[in-house]
Amino acid sequence: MKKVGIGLCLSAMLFTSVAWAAEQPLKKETPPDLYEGTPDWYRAVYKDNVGLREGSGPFKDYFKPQMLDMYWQPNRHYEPMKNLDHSLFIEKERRDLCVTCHEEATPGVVRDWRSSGHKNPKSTPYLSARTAEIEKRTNRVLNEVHCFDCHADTKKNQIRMPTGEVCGECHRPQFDDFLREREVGRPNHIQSWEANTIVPWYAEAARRGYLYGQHGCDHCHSGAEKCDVCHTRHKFSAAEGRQPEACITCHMGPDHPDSESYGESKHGVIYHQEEEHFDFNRPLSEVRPGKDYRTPTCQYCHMYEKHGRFIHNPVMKGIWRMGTVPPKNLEYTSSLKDYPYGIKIISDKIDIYSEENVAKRSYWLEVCAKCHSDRFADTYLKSLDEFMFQAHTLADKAQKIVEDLIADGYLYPSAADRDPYPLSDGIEKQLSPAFLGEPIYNAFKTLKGKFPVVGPILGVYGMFLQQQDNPSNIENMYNRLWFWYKLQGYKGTAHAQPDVSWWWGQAPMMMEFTKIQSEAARLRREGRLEKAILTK
Amino acid sequence: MKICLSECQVMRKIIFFSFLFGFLGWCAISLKNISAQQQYTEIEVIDGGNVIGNVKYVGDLAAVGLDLYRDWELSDTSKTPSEKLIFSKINNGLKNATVSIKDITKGKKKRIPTIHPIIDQQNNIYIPHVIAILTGTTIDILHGDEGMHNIHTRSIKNQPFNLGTTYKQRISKKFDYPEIIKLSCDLHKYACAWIVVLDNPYFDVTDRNGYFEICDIPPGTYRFQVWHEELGNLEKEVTVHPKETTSIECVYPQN
Amino acid sequence: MKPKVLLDKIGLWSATTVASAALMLSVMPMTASAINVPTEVTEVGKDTYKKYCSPCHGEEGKGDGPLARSLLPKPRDFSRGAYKFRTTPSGSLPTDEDIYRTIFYGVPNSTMIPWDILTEEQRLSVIPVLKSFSEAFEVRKPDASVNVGLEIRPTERTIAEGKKIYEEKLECWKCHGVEGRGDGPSASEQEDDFGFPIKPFDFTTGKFKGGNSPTDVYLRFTTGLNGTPMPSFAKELSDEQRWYLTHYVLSLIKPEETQNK
Repeated sequence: MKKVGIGLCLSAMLFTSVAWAAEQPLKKETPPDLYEGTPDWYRAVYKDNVGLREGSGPFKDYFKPQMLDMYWQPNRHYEPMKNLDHSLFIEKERRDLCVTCHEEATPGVVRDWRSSGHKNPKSTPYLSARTAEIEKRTNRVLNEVHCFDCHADTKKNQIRMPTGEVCGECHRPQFDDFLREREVGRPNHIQSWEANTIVPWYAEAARRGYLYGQHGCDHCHSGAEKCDVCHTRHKFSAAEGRQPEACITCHMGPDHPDSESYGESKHGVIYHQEEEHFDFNRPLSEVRPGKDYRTPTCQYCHMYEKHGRFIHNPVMKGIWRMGTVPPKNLEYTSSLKDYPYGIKIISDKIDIYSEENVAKRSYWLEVCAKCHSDRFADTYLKSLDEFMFQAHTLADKAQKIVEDLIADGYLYPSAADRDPYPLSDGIEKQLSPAFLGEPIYNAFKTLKGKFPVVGPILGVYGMFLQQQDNPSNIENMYNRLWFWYKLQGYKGTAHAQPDVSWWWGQAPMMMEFTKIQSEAARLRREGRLEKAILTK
Repeated sequence: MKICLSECQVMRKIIFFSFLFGFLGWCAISLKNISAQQQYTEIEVIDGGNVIGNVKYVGDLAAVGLDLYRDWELSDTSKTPSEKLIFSKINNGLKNATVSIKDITKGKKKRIPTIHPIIDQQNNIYIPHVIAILTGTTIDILHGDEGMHNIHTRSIKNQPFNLGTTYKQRISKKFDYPEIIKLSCDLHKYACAWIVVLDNPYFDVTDRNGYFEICDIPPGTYRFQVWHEELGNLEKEVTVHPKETTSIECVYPQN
Repeated sequence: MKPKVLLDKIGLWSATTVASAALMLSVMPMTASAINVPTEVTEVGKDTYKKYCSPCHGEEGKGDGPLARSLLPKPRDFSRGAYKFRTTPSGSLPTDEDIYRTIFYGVPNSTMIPWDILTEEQRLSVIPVLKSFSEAFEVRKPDASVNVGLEIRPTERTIAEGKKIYEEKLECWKCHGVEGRGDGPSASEQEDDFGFPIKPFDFTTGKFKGGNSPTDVYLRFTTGLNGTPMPSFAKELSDEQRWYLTHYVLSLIKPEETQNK
């Protein structure tokens, strides 16, 4: 049964993507490249291996990576171990010795592999068929996918840490699907490392000796190059990747409580109650709703592409882009009207009613309609939109309060009297005006970071780096409001978890708003008093 | 050395030759070793003095932990007191300390006992617990219990051994190099014995009141060494006068 | 009919002869090649040791290489001259052949791989390096290899006799467990001479560390495993009894399900 399972698992991915690939004109086989289509400068700072000599991203010269990054960003940072030279084993291609030694050195790994489809790629008719497809495509015979096939760099005669590119040699359709995440831009998995390295506070933290404090960020954002984030090594099970638990290690917590909101929603509760009846060995495209799955999983909704097809990435259908990007469809009073300002690592404002998004909405409805009526699903999704409009309006109001306070000169301590914005000496050198936006670029150039930065996305630095009086309490209140509570409310509403929507979302948002109001009033009062005393 | 590798196990001819060579090598090395050892010349001691003394441990028994719960599933352990640290309640005399003269270069004749000293195993403990012998002495290790024991030593210079034995087995082993050797049984971990091999005949093991006696020492000043398994080493300089008995006291402080 | 049968027979026999001749030829050169163990530590030996042995066994042979900390069982500390797999009696140093054998065949159930990947010269050159780590090799010489004698064929009787020894006479089960899974009542408290906890061998795995042949297992009972609690039974058991025990222990093998796959 297990083998059938594994077979089915592998096939799931294959099936969907093969179906997709079939309609494409036959591509000339180029070696899989995770950075396909990116400009040269991008490759130079993300792909080219520098070991642990320097960091990655535009600020690479300002920090050295933490050592663990070599496992998390293998293309850029991996260095083979120096203690035991493995070159002899690779040179002589002694596959047997890998297992002989590691069966004892790391027995869990070997047992995992033994129970995987890699060890027995032809153990079931189904698996054999999938393997045959790979064999045909790659023009090789696969009776066993061995340690050696993925871990041996035969050109350099050293051990390599496999990235998606290695997996892509055989699992090309899945790899190409994953690569398509770039089409929709951040937030996505393949560019997740950018979120750490393009923002200036990361390099600034490193410069101040707090790099290992960023461990929590690095660990999740290492999903950019690797497949074992969802299909954990060394079993690489497709069935595992289809379970909601595959997502929740990263998708949880204050900024995106996906685990909590899905898990406690009716969808999630039914999943937990009837987990043993779910057939995760079926490819997503062959799942019969109500029979194989009684409720949807993360993957079932998010990896549904359109028209009955599934795609091997979960970002294609996203409309609200994790809730951080303000919609075009609102009138803003604060500087949110000029969004995006600052570093453009995230897309422009979203037009919820653009042609593309209306189409995406209909794809969502296709999924929902497996169980829900079209009208119910449409109404639910529209209520989500309304929630988001409300939440963004509230955030806009809050930002306006903070910005007015600053404009009137009541921020205390003032921007001139506190530590400058993180890495402000480096930002204008490393980033172009086009990337930053002309006004921000000029501000960095002339004021050297001694100016307040509020709101999405650069204003969130206070959650990642603490400096003398920077940011102040009121700025961080606003960060919590838009970055935590707004997003919690969003996830609660989107995943149909009422408590998360209200008590983690809307309610704390309002309370934070009140706090911002009173903090602003207090600062203004103190400022006025001070002025009055000084003028006397 | 020429050796032949057989696919399976032993190729006797080659082994024979290798042992011939091995033996020759052994001769060479043992000759070298004899010369390298600390010289001890045997002389006739006419006006030798004696040293008697008492080794004491001033301290609390609780200072050295006794793990009463160890091996709790084996019923006989609770009856068997640990022999690690035994001292007299009356005069604090420490049992089973080995007293020897460290730097003596000449003295009485080494007399290797023709009747082999015995270490017996009864009720899963070794009797005696500590034995001091002269290099070249053979010890007989007896097995007086009904159960199975293994006799396991961990020496480096003297060839170690680890032999499984049962009732009435007798093992004879010769010890050629000065070394302190722990003898234990892996099945009864709380029991062990110590074999202290010394290369001069001036030594004694203290009795249950901590007394020892070393006789016929050529007059002079010597460094006396006391060794105890739990308390370690203690050194004392003693001057021996001709035909006199010197009385000394060695005290392990409590720490 | 008859000539055809004859022809078949001739064909079969000739094929067998050719095959066995070929087999002989392929086996012969390997078994008969004489090897020279260098008596002195050579540069090749030092390099090979440093590159392939020291990561686990340590530069000084103390079993404390950089990789040692995560390994179980711990790599051998050579400083005591205690070698597990020998043909020599309990406590004796190993012969050069014994050391070479372990290097060549490795130790199953451990990270000591068969180092057949190295050249013969490299493997041999390491032997004097290993010996140089222990003063035991300066003061002692290996005893003569024990005489294995004629192997006894396993029968039901020998296995039953072995079982009696295992369960009653020697109480092997105290450490190795009644079913030979290495889980006897005294199993958890065992320590090797270096103070590391050591697991009694699980016979059911069938991957005997010193080799799987009856002779190998017999030798373990005869010579013991130096540096471990496993004693020699050369004194306690007669030659036959050790064969009985061998047969019984080999009968305990029950491979893990995954290995059947």
